[in-house]
Amino acid sequence: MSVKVTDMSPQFLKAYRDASRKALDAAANVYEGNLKRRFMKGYYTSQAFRSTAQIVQHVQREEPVFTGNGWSSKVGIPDGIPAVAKAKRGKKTAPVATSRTMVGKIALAWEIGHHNLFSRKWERVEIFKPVAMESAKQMVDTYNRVLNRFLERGRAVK
Amino acid sequence: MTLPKYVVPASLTLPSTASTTQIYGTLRKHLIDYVSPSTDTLAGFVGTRIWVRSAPADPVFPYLTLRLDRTSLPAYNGYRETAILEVQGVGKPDSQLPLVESAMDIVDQAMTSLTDRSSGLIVGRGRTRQTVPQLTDPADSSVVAVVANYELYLWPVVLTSRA
Repeated sequence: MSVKVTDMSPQFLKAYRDASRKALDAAANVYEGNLKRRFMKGYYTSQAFRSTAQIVQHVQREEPVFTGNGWSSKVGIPDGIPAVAKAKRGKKTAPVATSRTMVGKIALAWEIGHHNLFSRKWERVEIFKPVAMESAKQMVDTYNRVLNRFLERGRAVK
Repeated sequence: MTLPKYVVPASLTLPSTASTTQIYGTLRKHLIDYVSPSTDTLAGFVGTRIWVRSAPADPVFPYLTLRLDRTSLPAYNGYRETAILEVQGVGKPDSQLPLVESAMDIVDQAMTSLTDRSSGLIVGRGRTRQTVPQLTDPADSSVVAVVANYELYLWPVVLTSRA
């Protein structure tokens, strides 16, 4: 007669990996929500720059991907989305997408600062970074809560 | 009243961490004084054009800007700060990109080897750095920039000497 002693670490590691994916996605969702709420309070410089109003429409969260440093998720504006130019006053033509100006680059220019062609000044309004810093604790709490829930209930293995 | 937009040379007692303005001045002076192993200095690239927050109107290119984000945690009774120093190297036209990248190499060396214990303590080691992609409207696309963030640890006098 013998008793088999088994290492369950493969099951645990799989459960942990699945749970941490859900936890990271939940944390990223917190940031995405806070970011959109922040944009709803007002755009850059009170909509003096109309193209910036398009930024919030394209904020999105990508599916988590597994990297050498664990799960990773991007929240922001994907590359390659052209800005839509407004029709000129008095003309009844529909708004058209301009391939020259990308929404992501407009957001980047405002986030890190830029010499503005229209105001002829250095313009900078940070939104993504301050919201990330303000959201950090809420994101960590959410991550821990979701991770614990899925590990405790064994629901991560699906 | 005109608020001080940047640190005026020789107007402050440096190095010092007794005030935020002096911390900026200390970091700026460290950058200006740093001599690389190949005897390069930032003066050869940007002169003394190292501004806090943003450059004045109609700037001469290239130039550098400094900006600090500072955090102190309860675990250290608020004495010890972790700060992120953002340095932007900005040039125009785009032919100045090699100049800006080279200037930022010197900033990299200066900031990642920084240990100043003459007033409080400032230590710098880690950094991230990115070349900004070419921007389009509303940004001036002929402007080139490199953005680097340096992680600093401070025990500044302004926080450690309380009444």
